[in-house]
Amino acid sequence: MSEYHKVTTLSELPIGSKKLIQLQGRAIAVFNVDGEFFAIDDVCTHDGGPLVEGDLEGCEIECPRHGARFDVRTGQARSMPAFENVATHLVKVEGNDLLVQLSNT
Amino acid sequence: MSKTGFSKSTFQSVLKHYQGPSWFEEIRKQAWDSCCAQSFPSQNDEEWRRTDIRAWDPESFIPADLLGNQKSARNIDLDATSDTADYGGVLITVDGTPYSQKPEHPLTTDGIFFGTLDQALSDIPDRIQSYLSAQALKLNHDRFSAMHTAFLNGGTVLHVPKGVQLEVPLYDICALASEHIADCSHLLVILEENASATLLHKVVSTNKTLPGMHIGAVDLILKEGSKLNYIELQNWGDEVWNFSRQQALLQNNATLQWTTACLGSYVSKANQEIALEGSGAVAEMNGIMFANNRQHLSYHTKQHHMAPHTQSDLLYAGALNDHSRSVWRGMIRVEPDAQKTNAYQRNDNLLLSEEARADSIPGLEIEADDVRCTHGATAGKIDADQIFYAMCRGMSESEANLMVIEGFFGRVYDRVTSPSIRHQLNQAVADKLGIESGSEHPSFISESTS
Repeated sequence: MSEYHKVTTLSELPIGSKKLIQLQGRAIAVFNVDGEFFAIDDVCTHDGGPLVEGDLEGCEIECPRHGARFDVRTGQARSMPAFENVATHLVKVEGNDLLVQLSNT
Repeated sequence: MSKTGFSKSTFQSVLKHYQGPSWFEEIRKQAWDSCCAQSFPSQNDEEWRRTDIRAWDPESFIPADLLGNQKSARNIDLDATSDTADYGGVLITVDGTPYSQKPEHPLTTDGIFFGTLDQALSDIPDRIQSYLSAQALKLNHDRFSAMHTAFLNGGTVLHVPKGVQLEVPLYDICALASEHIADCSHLLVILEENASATLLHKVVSTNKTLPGMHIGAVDLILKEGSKLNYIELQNWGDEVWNFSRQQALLQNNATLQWTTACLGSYVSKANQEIALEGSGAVAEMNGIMFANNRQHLSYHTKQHHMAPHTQSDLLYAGALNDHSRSVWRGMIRVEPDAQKTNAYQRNDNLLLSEEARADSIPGLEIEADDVRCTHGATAGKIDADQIFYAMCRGMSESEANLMVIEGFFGRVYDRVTSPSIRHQLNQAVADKLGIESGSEHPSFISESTS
């Protein structure tokens, strides 16, 4: 089981925002949805697009390439052209720090 | 030693250590200027659309030239590469520094030169200067090419004079043995008219978990009627970022057989181009890619037909396990004058897991009207019945996988004529599957003696 790693501070991730982080050679997108934090692979399962560069509407992120949408809470693919879910990662808050634990999926 | 990255002060430190000729220093300065004028590619560039390097941090590396006094403290274990008896010459470079060399003197009585780039710059500058300055070092291809030249830390040169036929293969090993080293080595092969040679170029990490980086380049120059058999075995460690630009230039009636085995690295992005500049030139490009875990292997090939009656034949086979991913983007480009071109490209992929992914993108750009150009690409899952059948007969799952994968790679192996080199390829694949070297059946493919 991998460990939690500090990836950013809460002040750098206000409500409704998103951020790209690099963790162990992987590109991960972290989100603040109404004060709750989520982390997913920043790779669209359709075409490998960078999700973090898309629009975050509520709990859905839209891929800037072809408009596929994913639920950042569960990783679930919500619209075509993507149909495979994106990997999610565990997050926790310690003080003003946001920590992420990479999953193996 | 602290990580330096690739800043201006790093470049100046590298130049301070440099002891080569001034004309080459000038090329490196130009490369640095070119490097500063360009940014790293992003996923908005079509060529990098499927290769994500956002998690790559160049600042966490140190150019091999700045390793300094630490060189003597290296604990080098090259047992895995000690199988060198079958080769006429062996050159081993570790962290950009020559480690051992056989024969001791790079220049033989036949006039063949097989040695380091530094030796070549000192011993045979007149034979290589024009290639290094004009053809070999393309500064403006992209920022990686410019970085390669600016931070170049040696490499290997093979020069075979006119009419000399080298019967026994040569072996060049480039290894990374220290953490966070950025290796920017260059391989230059020049075959003069009607010369021939076989070269195995192996790049490897001495420890699979060492973080590292390679920004390399390969240049193969084949003069009229020459014949080269070039094999590259890429077996970097699991945490190496590998960027490579490779090209071959073929003059009239030259023949090239180019085989690539891509097994290692975390991310690999390679551009391979053959330029068939002379009439009657023939090139064959073979490749195997075998990835697991989260490896990403990206190969961009170009078969560039510039003269009439030229032939090229490309066959790449990829096997992908776990969450790995491969990208093959192939282009056959036929210029208006290149009538009677005969070109083929094919990429087959074997998916060993549900999560693996292979992107195959063949392409044709044809401006002549009397040519034969065809291509194909396939992707398919491993047949569970075959694995079940083999396991019923006493094989472990990994041995059964190896047998299927070897069968899949067989068409590429069959094109490699040297038994010792074919054995190396087989063994590298078996090692990756965790089947021990020297086991009862390291290979299920019989060694052909033809």
